[in-house]
Amino acid sequence: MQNQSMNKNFKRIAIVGAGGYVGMRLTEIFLTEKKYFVNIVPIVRSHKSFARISKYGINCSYADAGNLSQIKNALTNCDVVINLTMGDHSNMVLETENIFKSCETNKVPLLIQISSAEIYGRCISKDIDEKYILKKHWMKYAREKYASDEFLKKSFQSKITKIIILRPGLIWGPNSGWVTEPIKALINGNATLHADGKGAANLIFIENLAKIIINFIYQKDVKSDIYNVADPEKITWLEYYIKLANSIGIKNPVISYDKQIKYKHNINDFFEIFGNYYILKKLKKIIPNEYKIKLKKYIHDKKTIFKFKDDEIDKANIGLSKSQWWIQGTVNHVSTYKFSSEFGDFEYINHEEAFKLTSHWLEFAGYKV
Amino acid sequence: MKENHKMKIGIVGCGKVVIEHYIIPLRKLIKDKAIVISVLIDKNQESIKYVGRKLNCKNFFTNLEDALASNRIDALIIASPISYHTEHILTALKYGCHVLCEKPMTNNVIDAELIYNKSIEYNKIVSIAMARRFFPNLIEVKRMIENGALGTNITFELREGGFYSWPIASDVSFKRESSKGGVLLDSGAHTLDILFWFFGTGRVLEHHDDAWKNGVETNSISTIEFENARGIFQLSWDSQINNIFKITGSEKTILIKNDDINHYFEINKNDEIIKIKAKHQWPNTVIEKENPTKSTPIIYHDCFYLQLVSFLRAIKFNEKIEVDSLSALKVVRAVEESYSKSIYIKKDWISNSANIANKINHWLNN
Repeated sequence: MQNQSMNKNFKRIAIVGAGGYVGMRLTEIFLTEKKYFVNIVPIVRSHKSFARISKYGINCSYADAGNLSQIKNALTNCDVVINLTMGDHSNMVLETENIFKSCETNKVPLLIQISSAEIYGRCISKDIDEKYILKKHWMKYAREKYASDEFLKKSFQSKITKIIILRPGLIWGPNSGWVTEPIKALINGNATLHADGKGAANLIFIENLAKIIINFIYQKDVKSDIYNVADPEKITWLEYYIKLANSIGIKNPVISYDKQIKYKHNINDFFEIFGNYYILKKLKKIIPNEYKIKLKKYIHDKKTIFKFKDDEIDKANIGLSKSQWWIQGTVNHVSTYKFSSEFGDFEYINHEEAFKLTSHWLEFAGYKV
Repeated sequence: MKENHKMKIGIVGCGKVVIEHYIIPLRKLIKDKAIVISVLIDKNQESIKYVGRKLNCKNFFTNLEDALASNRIDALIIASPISYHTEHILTALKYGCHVLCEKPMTNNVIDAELIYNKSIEYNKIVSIAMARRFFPNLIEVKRMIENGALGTNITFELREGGFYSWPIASDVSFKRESSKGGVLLDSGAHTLDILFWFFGTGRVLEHHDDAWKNGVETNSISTIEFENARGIFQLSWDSQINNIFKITGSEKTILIKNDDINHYFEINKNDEIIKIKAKHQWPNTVIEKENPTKSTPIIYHDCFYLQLVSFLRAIKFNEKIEVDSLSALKVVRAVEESYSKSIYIKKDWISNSANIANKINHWLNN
């Protein structure tokens, strides 16, 4: 460690949200790729998140970004902080504020904030770029991400902590929910696409996002800024589904098409839309488990009361959630002109390779047919 | 034991497992006048008071021996951390209690053999909580295997995993010095129990896992061979793997989805898929010995109730226990055998240098 610390490229990197999808992958990269002279500080909120990275036998810091003193202590002596927190959407701005304040207090030179391209909604206009001003969005997640970015933008002049805000599209690749959920639907024969599958799939391969993050970590003279980041290939949802299907050996996937111009809500949406509201999360914690179980059983019994047969229930489940319907209706690919013009020679993993790597993982995970 | 006698039950470990899985079935049994909760043992005052309120018990202890020395109880439910299981089971046996212990029974074969021998010596039941034995679909598929409906040359793949989400209160299970194992020791206790229950005695041919020195595995893949079947089982705490149990024989294939306890799918030689509702019923009362009322579990939590009923009926009416200490011993042996053969998992979706790092840092090499 002494020798490592003396190396001018040595970095102490805090990964806030190390038990999440991107956090797990970054932890793996920094621990297994010897070319990076780093000491990582994985930060998680709970023991269950630690479980997901427990294979490495490393120590983990427990801190809730919503608690300023906890997160301040956890970020001591760090050179870089990567904010990947994905907790309660209602706390997103507070957590971002706390992380930035902690960075300044601890004199952390660089904060990398992982925001989201969902801020741009369905990307109605081709001209949408990082200067976009969000007026309304039905997803609380997008509104809070935007508000967090706005807070950080006000601190771009900080002389202590430089801030890089990355707005990635949907992060796909090995072990991503944006791969496993379509794959399950393709295997079950109930894959459904909105807008004839012609919607723009704003995707970024997990390895590309990781490479971009690492690019900023080792960038000299970083200037605070916001960047949209995505894979260079522009594909539609139908193309994405077909490539995924092919990667597990389905040559002619069965895909049905959703024609709803205006989305019709169903009971599952209730949990998706309102499930992230603070009050409901609190209620979920307060309600004794016995009542939750009774409710679960009641809902199960209701299916019988409504005289659904099991097969009909399966059919009723086919369809899109509001998020899926929304995302698949995306009109344009997000503009990455700014990133490309500044880092023109960036070496992306292309889609051919990305699908190949994903296919290897799908085989490992037992999805090959 | 008289049929109208209320059995006296103690619980050691009043954490999440008891709160999530045991309170409802125990309350029902209390209401039915089948049991009373006599003692609760836990150092966490908040948990013990909560459980005490729910189960109408104010007799709290922080030490099991003290509790059993001053109270006569019929059976002890052990839901303490794994590292305490052996000590708690042996203490319970010494004081003449039957035991229902959370899985896994213990984390090493020496302790498992000791428990098995002591349960015979004291002539007491040591049962391990395996609620899945009460899944209606699993028992019906087991019968199909037994009566030869699947044919010969049986192969299987059993995969179970996802992002770890149990709201665990401590990280002792995730450090090698305190836990001795990860996902295989934890979820593997269930899956191995089901495999041994289905196919009889087996041996581990190969085992791969991804733990580094001081860590515990978050992924494990094993190949197991039984007299009439062979297959793989894969577990994960960090990967969204395909959660299915597929059993293929010369006559048909059976598919069980891990999130549905009531159905299974038959795939015949013409690739026709038939969804079948499982209807197996278990006794749901501890009061009646002869012709007890029965029910089919609908959700996972129902299985905990039926498991408790089965345990109490075994004590009261001398009925066969579902998972005894010998079954649990077989599982512990298989886990230990797997670990002894462990090699790293080669991942084709990461770089060669990362695979080399995983290989040289693998816990069995260090």
